[in-house]
Amino acid sequence: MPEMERTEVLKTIKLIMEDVFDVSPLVINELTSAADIEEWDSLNHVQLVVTIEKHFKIKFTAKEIRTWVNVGEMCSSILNRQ
Amino acid sequence: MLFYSLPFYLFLISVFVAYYFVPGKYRWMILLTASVFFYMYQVPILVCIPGIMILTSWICGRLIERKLNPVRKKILYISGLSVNLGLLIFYKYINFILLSFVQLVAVIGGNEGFGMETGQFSVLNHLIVPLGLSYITFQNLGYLIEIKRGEKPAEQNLGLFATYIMFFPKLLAGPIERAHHFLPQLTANQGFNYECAVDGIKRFMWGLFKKVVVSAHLQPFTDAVFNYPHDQQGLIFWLGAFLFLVQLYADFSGYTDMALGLSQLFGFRLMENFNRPYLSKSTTELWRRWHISLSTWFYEYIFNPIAINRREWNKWAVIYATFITFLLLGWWHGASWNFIIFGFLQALFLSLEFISQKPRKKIRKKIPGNLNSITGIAYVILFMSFSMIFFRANRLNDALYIISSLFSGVQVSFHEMVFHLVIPHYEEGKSGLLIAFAGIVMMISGEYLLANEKKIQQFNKWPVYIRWSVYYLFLILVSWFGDFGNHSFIYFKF
Repeated sequence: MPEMERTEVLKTIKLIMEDVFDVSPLVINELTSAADIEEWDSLNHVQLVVTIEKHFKIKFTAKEIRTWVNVGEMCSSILNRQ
Repeated sequence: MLFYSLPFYLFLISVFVAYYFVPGKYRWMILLTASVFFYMYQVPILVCIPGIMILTSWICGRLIERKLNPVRKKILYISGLSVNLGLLIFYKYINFILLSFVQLVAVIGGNEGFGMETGQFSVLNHLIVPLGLSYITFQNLGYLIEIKRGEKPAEQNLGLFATYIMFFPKLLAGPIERAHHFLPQLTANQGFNYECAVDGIKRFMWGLFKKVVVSAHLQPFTDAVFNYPHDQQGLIFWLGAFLFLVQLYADFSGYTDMALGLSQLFGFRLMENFNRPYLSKSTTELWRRWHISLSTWFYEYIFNPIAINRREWNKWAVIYATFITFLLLGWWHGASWNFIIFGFLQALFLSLEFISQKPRKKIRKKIPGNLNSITGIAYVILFMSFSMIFFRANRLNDALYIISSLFSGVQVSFHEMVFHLVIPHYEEGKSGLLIAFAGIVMMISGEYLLANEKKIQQFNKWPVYIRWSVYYLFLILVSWFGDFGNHSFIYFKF
């Protein structure tokens, strides 16, 4: 996977998260998980998924969503769809 | 067998000696035998119920894993869920469902209701609900769901699986352990770990303190308020609801500390169930800190699948999933409308917090940090105390009466209310309340210190004789001020 592309996806996720969680600026990396961001709770997680899907015009499977443990795995799912 | 009764201590010592006496690979057999004995202690025949559930789940789990045909897989999966849920519904909810149905028919078709009344379900009224049934069911359901999803393997050994479900420290009121967290510990063949065991004893003692000093001394007061609501007035109900919230926390987190401490004696680390929930600044945060093993179970297996499947509804998907989840979670606590209303209130406030989070955040930015925290904590305590009226009241009518009387009797002084209205029903009098209040202060201060790693390290550097003097002093205080009467744990009945 080209490194630049992955960095771009991470940057876009960061912007989406800032909007959904209403936190700015937000510092994230591939290892960031829900435990690191106070606003990333079970209710906001659904909003985050919907916004990412809309932005990238993709649809994740329920299994994919369930098995993500950090932002890096979200990035991989997005890149696998493109 | 209560965790602080003499028969339990004799049982525990025997199991402890036997467990470390036998070679590592046979230790689970000791735990399984002990757990079955523990379960059979009061009504032996009822052990058949968890037995049926365990056998069904184990067989279905193995077959689901083997079958490649999706239709057969689904049939096995539904069969496994149905046996578990069927037994839970039969023992815990059938009476409520039938009565609600008859009442509904009576309302629609006049006062006849098929000519049936409450008394006609007397056989069902006298059904003894097997202990820990809902905890056993939830562990079995979670296990089957994970296998069906193909995310976790089925356990090959029936004995190990039965030990996971029946492990006596968590058998009666959780934590609701996940198979993939517990089973590897069971086969890890761990030897005796002195540090782990000593920490376990300390944790058990801390839980005992919360139960026998705080919860047991608050119970007569809250019983007096909620068992005789028509003798009380306004402020007493507020105080009663708040003290019941404290009692519930002390009782359930005390039980959990004891369960986790006992598990550590055998080298097991169970899930944490509480994370100082009284510091929550919203109900959303509260449900991340309160009864964690249950709330995460509902999140993983109920809320998340519903919200993700309906995510095209956007925010409504979250609200819809929240209501379904919390109505079920409320009902899980017991077969009555009180618990359904309790769940509904949680869902309502969680949804309101969810849709208002951005404007609230803007307002919060203008308020100093400490004031923000204090108002947030006060809001959660006030809301949860109000919810406790439904949780604790004996009947729906009592809960409605209490709510309608919350602002009555304001002309009577608080002192007069406590000492003339409640005390006549309160067996222990003033001293019990004083012990309970001192216990509450000690409980909160203690949990603040225990959560502070730096302070723990400082304490551990003290000379050994001082540290052990502190432990013995604490033990003497618990023995001296504790009420070791036959107060069952509140969550045993759920």
